Amino acid sequence: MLRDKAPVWITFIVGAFMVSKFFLNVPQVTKVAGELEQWCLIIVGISIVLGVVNILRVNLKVVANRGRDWGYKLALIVSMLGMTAVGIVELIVRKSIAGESVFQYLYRNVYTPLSATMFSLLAFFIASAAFRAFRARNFRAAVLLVAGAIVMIGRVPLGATIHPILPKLADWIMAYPNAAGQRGMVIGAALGVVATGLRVIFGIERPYLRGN
Amino acid sequence: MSLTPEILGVWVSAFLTLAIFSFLYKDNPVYKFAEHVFVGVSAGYLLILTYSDTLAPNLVQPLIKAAQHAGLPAAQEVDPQAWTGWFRLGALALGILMLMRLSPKWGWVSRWPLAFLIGTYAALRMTGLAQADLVMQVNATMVPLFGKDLPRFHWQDPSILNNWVLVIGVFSVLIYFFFSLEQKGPLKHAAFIGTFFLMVAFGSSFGYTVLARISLLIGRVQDLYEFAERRTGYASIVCAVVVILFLVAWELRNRRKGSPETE
Amino acid sequence: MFLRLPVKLKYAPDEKTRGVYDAVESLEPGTIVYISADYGPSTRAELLPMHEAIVYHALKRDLRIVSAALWPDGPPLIDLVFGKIKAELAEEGIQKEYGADFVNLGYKAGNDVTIVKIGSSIPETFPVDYNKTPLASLPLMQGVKNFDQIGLLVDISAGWPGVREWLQQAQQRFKIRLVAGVTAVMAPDLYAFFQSKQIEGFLGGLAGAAEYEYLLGRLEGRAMAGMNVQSIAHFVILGFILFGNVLYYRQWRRSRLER
Repeated sequence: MLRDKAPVWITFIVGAFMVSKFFLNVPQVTKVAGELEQWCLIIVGISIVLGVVNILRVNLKVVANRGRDWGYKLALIVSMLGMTAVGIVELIVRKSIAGESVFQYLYRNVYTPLSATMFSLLAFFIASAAFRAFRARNFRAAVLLVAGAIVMIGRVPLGATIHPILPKLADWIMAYPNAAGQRGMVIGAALGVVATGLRVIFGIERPYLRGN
Repeated sequence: MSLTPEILGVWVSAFLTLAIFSFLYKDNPVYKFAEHVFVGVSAGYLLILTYSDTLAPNLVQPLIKAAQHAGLPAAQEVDPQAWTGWFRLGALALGILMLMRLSPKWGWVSRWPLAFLIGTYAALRMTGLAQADLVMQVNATMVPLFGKDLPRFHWQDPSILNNWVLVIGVFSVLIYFFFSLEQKGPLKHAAFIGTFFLMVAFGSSFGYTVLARISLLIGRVQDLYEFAERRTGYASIVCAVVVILFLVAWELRNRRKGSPETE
Repeated sequence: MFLRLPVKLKYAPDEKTRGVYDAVESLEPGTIVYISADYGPSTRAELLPMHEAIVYHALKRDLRIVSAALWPDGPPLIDLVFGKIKAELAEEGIQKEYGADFVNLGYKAGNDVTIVKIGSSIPETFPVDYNKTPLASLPLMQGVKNFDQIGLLVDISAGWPGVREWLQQAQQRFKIRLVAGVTAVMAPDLYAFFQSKQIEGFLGGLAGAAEYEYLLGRLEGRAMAGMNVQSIAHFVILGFILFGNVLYYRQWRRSRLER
């Protein structure tokens, strides 16, 4: 009962209450809903802590057993604990991690270049894919490529410099055929989300029962 | 050039940037090291920020305030509403149950806070999407297809041709994704038209994706260019030479061993 | 920038870029703008220039800015932008102070729920700012309870949670004006919402940022500087695609002739 039925009832009661909040303009309901929203923020925050602790646990196990790439995992653990320790010291001494601090220094000079460069690698992959994979094998693929080419030329100022019609054509493609295609997908997805939301609230789908 | 913290930071940034770029040659120890440091630093940063910006002000401080004001006469209370902080005990309890997920024996109790979260998010997303993505989007598709007030064509503003393109596009794409009936006859033709609108949408997305990826690379190269200035001690250039020399030595060592290092 | 084309590039800001510009221009001085910095260093190259341009535009027009982030990477970027624009405006003789003209409320976990909570009560969601100063002691935050006191919502967004969530949970529920700055990857999705007037305008990627800088007259901006190389790179990629297709066509013809 507690293991399987209780979560279903919790989802239903909380879900139904949060939906009813939008139909009932009653101060008490709004107050309770507001407090439940606070609880959500806090539980999500604790879930993040759970995720980070799990990363530590998994990698500590590999290092302890001298598993594959254990040296790199050790670097991961050291950098994680180092960043955490710096943050804790800042919070204790300065009560805040904002402003000029060692924590922000590490964010600027370690985290930022790593994060930015990881994503910038994608430019090379798209260049490689442009040569190897983007082939007009049939008429529909050709439509895709031509639309992409017009947008690529029209969206940069060089396109406007070559001929003023290029940005206009690109903007028209984005504003009408593209918008129509995207809207069809948005409406379809919205119908799916509404249906799935109802199924989850009424306990027909129970994603929280997977796993443990 | 004196080694100030700023200059040291530039050197670290340049080295880490080039370590990640070394992946373009192949997966190698320098890249792997940088990648793992990235994961570690991200995790540490996220942990501290989550505590500092969410858990401390929204959980810890209200509980402390409620405890401080408990038992005080009304005249001495600074914040008469401080007692409402006790309600956060419910969130704390659910949060502790969530942490029980780490236990093989008691992990099942984490279903309760998960159910709480899923119920709340399902309700919010359902109502939000129903309004924003469904009702408003359908509403915006109801555009006039005839009329003297509209021009026949305009590049940006609504016009007869533009409205026809919009309506036919939305309907044909929706029909393409409609699987409750077998797609034959008129449905099949309508779905076929829908695929062209989808190709245009995907082609536009592709064009914009190229724009995005190139922009990100331009950003990094701009930074590396700045890091190569004399005032930084030519950090980018020196780090590039170091990384390249390491890759050469590593590659030679692998070839001498007789087999490439397994991934 | 190290690579400049030998030709003066023409800029043609489109309706969606002008929508952002006009939305900020339409606000009376003193109006509060809420800017959500929902991005991180991974998309900094695209979004930081537009974030700077919008903050510059708003502060120059004597608007007041309340800024926060749904992404944990956001708050230091907010501080970076404020610091840079404050210095830039100081050189123009315009003084802007933290607490009176702009505040950084920091990061809050929770995504969609946080947006709904902000809409109903900002002080309850953010009891303190990023520097741990109680909101009650910040002059800008006096009387700011929720979106009713906000004139315009600006979302600088790199993914999830981002502009779609602000649309669903804030713009529709609280009927607030919304403009966005997004990565180029997200831009195609937003045209449908621009056509339906749910968003008044948006900036798509570095090109959108460059157009906005052009409208503001910031001709030495970082986005405009990057457009030279961006333009060349696009033609290079198109060249790759064309070359790949020519080779494919020749191979296809050869295999047909052999048959």
